[in-house]
Amino acid sequence: MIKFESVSKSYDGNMVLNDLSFHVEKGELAFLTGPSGAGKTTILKLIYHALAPEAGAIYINGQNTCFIKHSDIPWLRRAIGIVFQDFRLLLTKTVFENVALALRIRGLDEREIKARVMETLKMVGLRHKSDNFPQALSGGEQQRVVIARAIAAEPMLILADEPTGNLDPETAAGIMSSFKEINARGATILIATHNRDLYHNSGRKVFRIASGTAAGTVVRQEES
Amino acid sequence: MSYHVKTALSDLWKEKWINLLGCLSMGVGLFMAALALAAVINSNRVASALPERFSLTVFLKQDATPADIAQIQNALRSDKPVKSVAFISSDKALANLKEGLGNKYSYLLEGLDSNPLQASFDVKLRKEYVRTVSVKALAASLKTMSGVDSVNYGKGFLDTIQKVVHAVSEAGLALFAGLLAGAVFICYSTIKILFYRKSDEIETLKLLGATGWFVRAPFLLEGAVMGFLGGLAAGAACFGAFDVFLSGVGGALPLLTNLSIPPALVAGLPVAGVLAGMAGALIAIGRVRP
Repeated sequence: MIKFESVSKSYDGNMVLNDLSFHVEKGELAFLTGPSGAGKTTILKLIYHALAPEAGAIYINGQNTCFIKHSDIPWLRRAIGIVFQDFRLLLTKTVFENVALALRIRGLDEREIKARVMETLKMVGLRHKSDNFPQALSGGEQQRVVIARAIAAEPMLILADEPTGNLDPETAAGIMSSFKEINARGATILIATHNRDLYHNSGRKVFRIASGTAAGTVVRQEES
Repeated sequence: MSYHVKTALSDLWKEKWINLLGCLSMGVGLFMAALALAAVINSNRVASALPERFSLTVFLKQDATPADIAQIQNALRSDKPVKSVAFISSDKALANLKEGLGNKYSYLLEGLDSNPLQASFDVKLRKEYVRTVSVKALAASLKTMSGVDSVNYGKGFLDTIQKVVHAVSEAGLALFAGLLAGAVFICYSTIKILFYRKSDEIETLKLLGATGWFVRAPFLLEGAVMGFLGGLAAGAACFGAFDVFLSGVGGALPLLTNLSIPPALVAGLPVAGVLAGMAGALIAIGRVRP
């Protein structure tokens, strides 16, 4: 589903990813971990084409996205559900409207949008808060709205950037069980986190990134 | 109601003060543009009404035969630009002169042994043909006819009218285009501000897979609504301004009572507003890169 081949990326001359290669199989729930600044968010941004690599190739579902046309980028992103680290919720829209946005962008009709949004909110336990605005929700609830928005359109790939950052362990466990449920339905999920408790003893694939060196960025794959 | 319409109306309401300012500014721009266009239309109307009194005089030679006169008359009557033809014999011309001089100056003609005045044709032209070029061409062709001595027409008057109308038309159209561009610029500035204010939201939409048109649509609708409302305000202002102008000045200068704002022009203002608004919005947003 995701394949990085010798990918390099730098910011203002500072190499962040150097000759990085790894791949995530279809239907997997995998973790991407490493210290802050190692390049976890950069990897996710490269996947949904918010950034382009300087060298190497990135394949999403078999397609090399390095040569994707600008007009095709929205279609690539529609195949991906993204849980942003900074949530990116629209504060002037209700919970319902925020989740519905992902479906409206995909051109679904209003009746289907309503049914799907309510079903997804029920899944993340926020159906009763559909008319609330994000600022009236707790951090954990906002996180679940972002997850609902990412999964509502049933994308083939879900990327989550620090989905449990700043959450208490109980809420984090609830969010992880949501991801497992979504993964059980067939979606491929890649979670970037430095929270060891999320992947420790989970039995899932973990990609551990060590910062770029002259020898290249080291990705160590392990089964936890 | 579609998502885009709902978003556009909601955004218009949320930023109501800046949008109101934009509407009013566009209204002022469109109002002034409409006045410029009305000046062009009215100057043409006044100019075309004046030459209805315009005539062309064909003086005949003293030795012109009845056959020559008949030929000239037939030629004039079959000519498109000619509205009417009146033959004035030399006797009639003298009689007219005497009548014009009246008793007070009748002594001026007492010493005449013979009638020195020439017979002529007084030719009235259709207003659509009263243009320097067409009148000059007609005069030139008449001069070549047998029996014609000379052809007189108000060349200076005609040239002046044409120049004035031409100048008013050019200046008015340039002003109209400039003010319309100003209306587009006002919408451009307003939408640009709104676009910057929503830049985070737009970024999120793009990351969620929105196409450029999905992002642009609400802004285009906002521009269209702003332009439409500005156009309506400009139309109302046009009617009001003309009423005030004509009631104040029309009485003093009767010629000005012919002035009016064409209803089609007023009806076109909201349409022009919508187009200007959408153009401004489109330029403001530009190309939305994913």
